[in-house]
Amino acid sequence: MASSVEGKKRRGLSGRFAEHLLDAAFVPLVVVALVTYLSIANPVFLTPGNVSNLLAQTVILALAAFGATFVVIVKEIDLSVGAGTAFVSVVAASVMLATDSVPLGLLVGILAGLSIGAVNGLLVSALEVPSFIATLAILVILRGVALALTSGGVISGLPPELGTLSDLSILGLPGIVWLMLVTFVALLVLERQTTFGVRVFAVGGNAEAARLSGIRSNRVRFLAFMISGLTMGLAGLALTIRVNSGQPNGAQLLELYAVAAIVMGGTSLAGGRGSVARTLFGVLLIAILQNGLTLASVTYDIQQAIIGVVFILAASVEFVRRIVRRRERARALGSLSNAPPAEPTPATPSAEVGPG
Amino acid sequence: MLEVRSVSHAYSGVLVLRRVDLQLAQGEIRGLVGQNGAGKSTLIRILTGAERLLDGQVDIDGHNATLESPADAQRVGIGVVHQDLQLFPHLSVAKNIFAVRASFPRKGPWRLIDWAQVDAEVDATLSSLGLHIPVWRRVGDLDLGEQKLVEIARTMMLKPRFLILDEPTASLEARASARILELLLRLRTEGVGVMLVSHRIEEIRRVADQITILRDGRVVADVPGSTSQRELVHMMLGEHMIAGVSPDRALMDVPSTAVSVSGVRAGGNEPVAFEVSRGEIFGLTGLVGSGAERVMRMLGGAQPLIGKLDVFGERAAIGSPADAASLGIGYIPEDRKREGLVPGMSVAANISLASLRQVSRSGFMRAGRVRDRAEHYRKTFSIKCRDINVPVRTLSGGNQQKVLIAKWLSAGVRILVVAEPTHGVDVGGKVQIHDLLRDFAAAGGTVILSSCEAEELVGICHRVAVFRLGRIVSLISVSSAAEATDSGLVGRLEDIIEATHEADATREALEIG
Repeated sequence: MASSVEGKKRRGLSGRFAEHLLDAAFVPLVVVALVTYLSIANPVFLTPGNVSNLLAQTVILALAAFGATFVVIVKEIDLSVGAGTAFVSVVAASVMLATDSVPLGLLVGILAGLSIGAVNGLLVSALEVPSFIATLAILVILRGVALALTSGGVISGLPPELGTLSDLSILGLPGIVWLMLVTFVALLVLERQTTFGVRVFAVGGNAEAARLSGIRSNRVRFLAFMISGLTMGLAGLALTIRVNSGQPNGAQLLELYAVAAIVMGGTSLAGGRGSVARTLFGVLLIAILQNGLTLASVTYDIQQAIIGVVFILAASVEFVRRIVRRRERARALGSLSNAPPAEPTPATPSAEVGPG
Repeated sequence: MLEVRSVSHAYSGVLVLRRVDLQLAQGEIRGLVGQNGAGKSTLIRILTGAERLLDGQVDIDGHNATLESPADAQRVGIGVVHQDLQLFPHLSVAKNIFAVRASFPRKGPWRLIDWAQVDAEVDATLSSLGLHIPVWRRVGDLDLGEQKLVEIARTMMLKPRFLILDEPTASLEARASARILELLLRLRTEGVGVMLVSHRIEEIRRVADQITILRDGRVVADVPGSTSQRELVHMMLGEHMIAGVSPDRALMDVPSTAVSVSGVRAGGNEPVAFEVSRGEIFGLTGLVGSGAERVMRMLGGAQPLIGKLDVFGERAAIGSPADAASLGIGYIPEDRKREGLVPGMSVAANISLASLRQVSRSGFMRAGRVRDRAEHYRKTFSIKCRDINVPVRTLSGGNQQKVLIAKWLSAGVRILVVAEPTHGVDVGGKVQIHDLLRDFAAAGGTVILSSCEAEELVGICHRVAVFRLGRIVSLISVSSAAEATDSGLVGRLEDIIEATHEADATREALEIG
């Protein structure tokens, strides 16, 4: 009897391990495989210059996607991150140009991002506009305003201090990469270790149950949009620092790549499930793929098509997961029903297991 | 003849069906009973093609039937009515019922859908079942009982020889349930083999020819429908004894008022007023729309409370569930899955949801506290789960309810407002939940519960308020255990609830006339 129990446990563990391989560990494994392949296939790939360049390219997408992950976990969506990033870049650059002060520009940029988050949050939580519509409208408005502010051009000739910021390098990595890493760690702690993090998952998992547990769901939703506003502010600043100018046309389609990175990472659009850690790997997957394809001299248009195909493959993982689960169950049953019949189980409700 | 032969099934290494044998003849009603987790749902899922048959076989008229998908089940003549409504609320009765058909009647040179013909065919089907529901009505506008009837009619549209119903009367009151049972009897005379799964043993006894009892995935007995309720419950639970009603109903010597409500509008012309003491279990009952449920929702903050409310002698206002919680009131809604739990979150996280402040320090969660509290309640409430980190959706109904009670006790509430505490909970779980509520009250807590089961109300409440048309029409005290065990009181309460229904029907008739 004891041995059969142990056997059951082993099977259970290996089953759980297989699930894990297909779930949380899947995208990281793909990223590792891709890195391994590229470093063998292309000698340039692992050079410090390329790695640092790759990470710098990742920063804007990563920052925008980190904040938007919270919005997706509360079962909403933020389509304004791309336009917001461009808008913040224009605002920050305009302030720097007008006041000749870089810190003031950075501060106003962050505030601009937070304001966008606040507007999105109020539209969704107070006025109950569906977030798809609300943030789509904000996207259109912000692109328009960003272009109007600059008459369609780029804001350049910014104070020289901004250049030093662009050239800043700590331990071989650009300053904006450190900005991304610090933001990542902070948001991961917020997600995993705070009551706010628990509330975010509760509201996304079942808003009514959360509300009836005394959680102010609307406030949680509002704050999720504020976090997205904050990271879109940081993304806008990163954009400004990186190209040393204000870019009304920057970050095109960023909102769609952000959603793709979030979903590929494994955060559910149905809410209540996901993580910024998963988003990080989703972002890395896209960035490394793009970088690898560029190194292989694949043109940009073909790159887009290939990335689209990878999205679809990533989405099919759920299908594979189901098949594995079904096989596991059939195998477990086979060995269980071949086992000698168990003695009559005590009829207390303690025998109550599994879905009834 | 539908024959289940030696079917076994397992979920994640746990056997839920063990060599189950079962027959269903045409023109027979077979009841299927068992506790939650006994394997009823799995068996239904297999018979309807929702779950792959892994071991054993299913024969129809002596031939092995393939049941790999719901379409297969339809093809071999098995129809199913699931517990949860599967209707399209915005479409008409006719469209809902016709939706199962593969093709629509067409007419004219453009081969347009002939909606008049659809209506006529559906109307014919409904009348052949003895149902009089206008086919043009929006399904969302029908009451729950009629919706269930529409669902059964839809299944019958495909002319199945065997019909499986999973808890068809679960959320219905007596009158609506009776209509469903009548329909089943009618189907039997037409030669349909009906399998009825229900927690309401009384109903099964009323209509079933044979009753199959499942326990721990095995068929433990196959008995005639006339078997007594007591025997059936015994076979379902096995050696597990059923506790009776609570022996002692005495309140504390010096009762102090916990909740005092007055001037609350519950849908009627007159306001509602009542007081509940510390240590008391106060029951509210009444039909759907009687106002009982509305008062519950107001006390829990699910909808704003309009009227006067005193909690422990102090004037209070409740505008949201958060307000209620800060007054020490915990609300457990009737629909656990949709409103009570966050299904994908762990048992431990669900327990901590109302007490996040107590299990954190300056906003940071303290994992140790979350775990300790969850383990504490798992032990003291005997919540059955593999461990506290499994998603709460994997638990049975009774255990989910225990998690909800634990959630509020962990937050230190002094008043529990529980709607239908044992709705969808099996017999064994019922007893345990009643014990938890009694213990809470005995320790000085206050319980306000609503229920449509007279037996439950008499079994644990000190007093019961019967609602009708938004006001309290009767207030019954259950003073002693002796009186409670005397089933006369149950009958009396049932009569009162039933009488309010008669009165409503008369009133409606008068208004229409």
